[in-house]
Amino acid sequence: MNWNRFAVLAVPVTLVGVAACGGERIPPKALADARADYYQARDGVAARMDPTDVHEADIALQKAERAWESAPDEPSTIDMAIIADRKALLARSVANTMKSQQDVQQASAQLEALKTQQLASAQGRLSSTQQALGATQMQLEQQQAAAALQAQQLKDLEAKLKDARDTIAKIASVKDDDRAWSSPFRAKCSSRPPSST
Amino acid sequence: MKSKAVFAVVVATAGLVAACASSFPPPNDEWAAAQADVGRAQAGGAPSVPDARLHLQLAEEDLQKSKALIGDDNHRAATLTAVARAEAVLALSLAKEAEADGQARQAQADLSKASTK
Repeated sequence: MNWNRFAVLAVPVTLVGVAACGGERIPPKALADARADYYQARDGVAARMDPTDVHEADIALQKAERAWESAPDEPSTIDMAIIADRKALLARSVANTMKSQQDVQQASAQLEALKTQQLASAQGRLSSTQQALGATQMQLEQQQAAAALQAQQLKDLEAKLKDARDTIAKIASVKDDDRAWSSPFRAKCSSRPPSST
Repeated sequence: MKSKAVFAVVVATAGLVAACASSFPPPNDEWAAAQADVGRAQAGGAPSVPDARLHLQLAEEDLQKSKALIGDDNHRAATLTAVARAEAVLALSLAKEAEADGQARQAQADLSKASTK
């Protein structure tokens, strides 16, 4: 009976002990985070953009894993896991920064090319507008010259007309004088007795 | 005779532990370097970026804990100092990342605006 009681107690305790010793220990959250963040850095853009920091994160993670294996209960083990995690996050952050800087450079280059293209287009439009303006100015100058010529011709005609009118007026006045002179003479002539012939 | 042996072992172990503790030098240089890193993060815009501000705060807290441990537990003080440095460097990097991200967004917006003209 005593033996049976001992067995009832001992078997579950032994099983639990074996399970505890044989099963894997659950890693602390800091170490799990460090592993996850390192894998993201290794498999993401950081591996291409910032391999140096990814490598440093790898070394820090290995150090944290060794500390976890040898002294899982030491506070410094958690510290090492946190350091590994922060190094992995640093690698991702540096890579993101470099990516953003590359994007800025590309966008600036595209903007510069676009501005150059727009400037060339505007210069082309300006050139054609200037040509049209030059042609219009030339037409205007020709029209102004023609108008000036017409104005001069009109002025000359007016002068000739005035001369003609003056001449007509002189002729008219001369005729009037002739009429005034010839009328009394005619009167005298008409009162004269007829000739004997 | 047996109790003498046990006493000797206890004394030797205690001496060894004390020797190990005192053999670890105080991390004064590392602490100063960590403090400089915190200063760089503060000057680099970390306080104005939420993620960076969190890690900057953690760095400052780790620095304070580390300072309190120097002399008593130099080994832990050293690892905490290293954590503080890692936090501070990350805070500065996150601040730079936020700034670069803002510049990239602005450059893209400028490009889009110029393209629609």
